Amino acid sequence: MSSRDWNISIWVLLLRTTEETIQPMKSVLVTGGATVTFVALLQLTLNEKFIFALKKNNFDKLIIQYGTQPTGESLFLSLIDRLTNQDYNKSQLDQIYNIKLKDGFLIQGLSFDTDFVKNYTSKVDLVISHGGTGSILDTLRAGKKLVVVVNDTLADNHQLELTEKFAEREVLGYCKKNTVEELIDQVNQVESRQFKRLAPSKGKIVQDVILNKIIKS
Amino acid sequence: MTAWIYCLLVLLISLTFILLRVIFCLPFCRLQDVGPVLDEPFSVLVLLGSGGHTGEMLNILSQLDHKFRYSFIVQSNDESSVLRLEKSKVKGTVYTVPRARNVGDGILRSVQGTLKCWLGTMKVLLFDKKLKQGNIPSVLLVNGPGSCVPLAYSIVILNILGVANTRIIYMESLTRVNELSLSGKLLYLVADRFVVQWPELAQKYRRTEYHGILV
Repeated sequence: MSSRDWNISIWVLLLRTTEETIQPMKSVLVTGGATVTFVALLQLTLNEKFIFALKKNNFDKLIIQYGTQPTGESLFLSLIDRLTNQDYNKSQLDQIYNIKLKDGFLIQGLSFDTDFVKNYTSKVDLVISHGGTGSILDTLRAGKKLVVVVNDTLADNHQLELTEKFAEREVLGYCKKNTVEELIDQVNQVESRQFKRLAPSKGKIVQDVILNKIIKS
Repeated sequence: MTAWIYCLLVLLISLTFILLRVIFCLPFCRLQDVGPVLDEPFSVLVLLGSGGHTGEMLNILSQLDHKFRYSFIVQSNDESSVLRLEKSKVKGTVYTVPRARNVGDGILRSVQGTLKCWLGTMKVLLFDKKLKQGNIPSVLLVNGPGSCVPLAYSIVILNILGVANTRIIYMESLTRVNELSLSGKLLYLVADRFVVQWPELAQKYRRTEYHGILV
């Protein structure tokens, strides 16, 4: 190999590395409902394997919304303790926990926010959520990628049916079983895939139904 | 003897009339839906039930821009519905009725509670001056909490008696994808319009209509 060839290959290498570093870092939001804590979801996401997979997908921020029940906060903190022995602080201003891992990965925790969609959902790149109607619709209407983990501990539950129906329409990805491996697999798939946009809500048509302006189609 | 025959004849005739009236009033017997109703401002009675149903209902109502006159019926243990209503931009009169049942109530208490709730609702419907201003509401809008069933059937009976002329519009929840809810099934035949949010449901049930996801 001549010295010129060497030069070129070094340039190519350099270009590649810069390309990689130029890629913007992304953030992921985990939400399990406003009040009741979705324990399995927290256990799946505050997990070493999962965070490693996030880093591989260029994520550098994980936001956990753990619910307003006091058990949610204690579960969050105990999982953080298991994950790292680093100190955390809770900011007095917005009541958010901030935990910075050694490699710069940031974990944030909050109970809930009244302006959740505006302050969180619309600012992240990926959402991992339970299968509640509101959560799914808010995320999809904000134009974000979504992986659903179905909460199978609830009574009278339609989360699975609903999630499957949305998945048929190719607007989101979901975990067929609640394991870390499946979640990582879904995150990888969702990251490499283009989804369809969900049509805007058609609620206004109810007005025409009330006024009898449209006849049943 | 002839007196008996006369009695029977009168009875038969009146029964026929009652039957005709019932048939005339039930939506599924009608060949086609009645045309636009013109008594403006249009009064719409809305039943707010538990969490999820209230959320969907207020979401849909906030998308409407026609000036309807709304009245809301809320159960007395459901403060969260009232709070959410106050926060949303939908405005209307709120009527509180006794709660139907608490979680964990036995059968007797449940029946008692449901009766009280129904009586309270009837009192509002028939005797409330504010609601009566524009007659009994032109439209009842419900989306499936359990308490909507007795209310809707009371309206049906009032319609048959000629006291009210109220159309019932039922909207099935988004969470129902393959099967109607119990409330939905019970109101399937008495609702004038039955809106579902998934095309699969509309294919399965002939009387329903699908216009897309409403919430």
